Amino acid sequence: MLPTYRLRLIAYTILLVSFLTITMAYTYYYSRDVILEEAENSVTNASLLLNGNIEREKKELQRYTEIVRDDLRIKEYVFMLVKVGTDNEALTSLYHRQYDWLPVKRHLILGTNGTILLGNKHEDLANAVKKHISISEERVFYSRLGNAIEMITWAPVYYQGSRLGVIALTHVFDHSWLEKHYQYSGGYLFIESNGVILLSNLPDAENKPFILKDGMMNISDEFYQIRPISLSSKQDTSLHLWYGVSMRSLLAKLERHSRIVLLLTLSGAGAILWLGLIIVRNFNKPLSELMRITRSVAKGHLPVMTQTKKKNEIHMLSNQFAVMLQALREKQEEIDRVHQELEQSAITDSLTQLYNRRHLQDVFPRLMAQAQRDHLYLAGILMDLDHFKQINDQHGHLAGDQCLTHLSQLLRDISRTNDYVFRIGGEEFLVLSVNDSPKAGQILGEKIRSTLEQHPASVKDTIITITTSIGISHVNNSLHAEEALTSLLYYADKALYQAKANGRNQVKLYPLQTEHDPRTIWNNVS
Amino acid sequence: MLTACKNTPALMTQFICFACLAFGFHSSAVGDNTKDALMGAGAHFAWIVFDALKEDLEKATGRETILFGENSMLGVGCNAGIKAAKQNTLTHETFGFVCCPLSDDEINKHQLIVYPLAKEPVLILTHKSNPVNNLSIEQVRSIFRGDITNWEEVGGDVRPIVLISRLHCKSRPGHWKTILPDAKEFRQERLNVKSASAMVQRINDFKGAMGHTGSTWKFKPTDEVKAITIDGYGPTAKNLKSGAYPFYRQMSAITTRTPSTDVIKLIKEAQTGPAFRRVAEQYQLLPLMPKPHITSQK
Repeated sequence: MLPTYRLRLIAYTILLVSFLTITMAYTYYYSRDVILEEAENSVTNASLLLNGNIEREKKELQRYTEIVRDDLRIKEYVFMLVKVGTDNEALTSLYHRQYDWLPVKRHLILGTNGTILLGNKHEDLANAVKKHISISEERVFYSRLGNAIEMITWAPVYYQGSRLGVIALTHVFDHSWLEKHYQYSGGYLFIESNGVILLSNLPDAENKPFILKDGMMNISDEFYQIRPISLSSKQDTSLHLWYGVSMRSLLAKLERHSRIVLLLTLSGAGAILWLGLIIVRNFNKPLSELMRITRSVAKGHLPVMTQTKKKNEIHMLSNQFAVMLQALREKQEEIDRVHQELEQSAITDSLTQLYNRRHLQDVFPRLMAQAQRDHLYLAGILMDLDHFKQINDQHGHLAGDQCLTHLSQLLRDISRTNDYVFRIGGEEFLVLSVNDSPKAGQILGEKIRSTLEQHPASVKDTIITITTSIGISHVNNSLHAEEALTSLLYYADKALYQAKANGRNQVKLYPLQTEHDPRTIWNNVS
Repeated sequence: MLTACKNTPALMTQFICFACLAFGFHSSAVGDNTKDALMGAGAHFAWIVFDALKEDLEKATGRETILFGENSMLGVGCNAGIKAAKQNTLTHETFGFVCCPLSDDEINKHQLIVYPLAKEPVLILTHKSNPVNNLSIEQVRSIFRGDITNWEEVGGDVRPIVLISRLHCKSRPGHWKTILPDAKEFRQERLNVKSASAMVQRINDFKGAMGHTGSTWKFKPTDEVKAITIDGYGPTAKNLKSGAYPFYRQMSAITTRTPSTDVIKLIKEAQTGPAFRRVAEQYQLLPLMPKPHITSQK
């Protein structure tokens, strides 16, 4: 079993093409036999049709003969000729008046003694009639007229009980007759006598030998299928009429049919292939897209899928998949947002929204690395609100909290973008600031102090003036990050203690002597 | 003979059809529209005379006259005249006309009155190209008998004589019987035709032909036919009257024994009126005495 639908579709297409080809091939070979068989039947039927036509013509000629025979005036006039011995002028005149319209070749009236009463110039016909009458009673016979065959019907004329003679009318199978029959039979006619073709509607066939073998005849290197046309009661038994169909035309017909079959096969196969490809493409394209998206999802991505307006099953599935991806994407965004919130809450102080001590542990190594890399000073500005306990006691904890919030807002406003502000204890705050000189940290600390002093907190219409004591230390770059932080906080705290001890609301830098340059240490380290 | 017999039913059928057509027409269409008309029917030759007199007859009687008799070859002949006469009633006044004299038996059988109109010469006809213009009575009779069979024998060309006869009204006296009294006397090798037109046609066809017909036959200008004299006498009323011309027949009108006054008036006008004299002259007819001829009843 083929694993994919694509392969299956291709296989089905190949099967269909094969089936079509086999069917057409079978049709081709079978139709060849059918055509040949039909051709034979056609030849036989055409020859039967010709026989029928000749029979009809014969009956028609007989009817004309009887019409003339039964004409009383003709009888009377023949009677006058035979019995009284008049000339044939009256008979001829009457006959032409009455019967010139008859569609016959020749007219003859013979007396009982063989005299020609009408048709003086047809002596050959008179002789043929006399000869036939002497040996046969049959009213129709055939005779040779030049190269044509003449059909002759005759009837005896009786008047007042005595036989006066015979009337004979003829119809000729000449070239025009052969041509006329060619029009509706589509075949050739041959009048043959003693093995020679006397007359034919096939060009150049006349005077050629007529040699028949297995129903076939060869004329000018072309074969013809030949059937005899029966001429009953021929007087001249050497006269024959044949009907033939050219094998070349049959084969041409077959060839034409073969081409049509081949064309149909190729067209059919092409159409099936084309359809197969369209089906494969239409079926496979959305499936491949789905596969790609699925793989992408499996790798953790949630790509955007465009929905289509097509209503087929695969596109509906794709659309559903796109909807599903959109839903997943929204869920993922919510998770990320919640995660971010959680993360934020984990590193910030809930009251002041400043970073907490935990985040200090995370941030410090990075800042220290930056300072080390850029040969800068990382200052730790540690501050503690002065008399905070008294504020709490005097104004309440809520007011204390608002004082802390007030300080936090000031720190955010004053600090630079790359400075980090932490609340590391109840009323203790730390600012980490990377600078290119040790003085910058001190300046920042002073700025914080003075700003706070100048901006008292406002709590319920009460202005609470708050101050802060600030201790500043710089990171010892020779230490490990953890130790450096501990050291920084330690010295900053020492400086803060010194600021408090000196009366609060002031900034102290550790080491207090300016000769201590951390970069010296850094240089030693490096 | 066999062929002739075969043709008889066809001719009978033709006759019946025509008779039905003619009289059927009269009794329906004509009967309604011309209720007071006098109706006459009969032999073609007599019809020609009556037809020529029609206007004068209508003037004499003051009534419309309807005549049937054209184309006797189609069967309207003397028998039709007798039949027409017998159809006479008080409301449907009819008379007949015949070209041959009726026998006494016939007159008594049908209870008829015969009103002789005129003697009509029977013409002896030959082809126009025939150089013979005169024959003696005996020569004519010999030819009709078959004793003379070639024109050469009577001074003409060497040409066989084609004898054409029309032996109609065989039971009645006169007419062709003035040539030979019995049909059996006629030459066997002859053409016996059924109508005057067929007679004329045959004579046209055969240059050696000889036949006969009444003088009232209207020849066409294209006809190659001529009438010969007998013993030097032509077929004229004068020669008939003198007895010099021997071949004739008698045409008459006929009625039942109880004809209406108007019918009698009409026939009298036909027998004696000036118009009839003119027609008689035209066709060389010899008017007969206008006495009604009534035979004794048996």
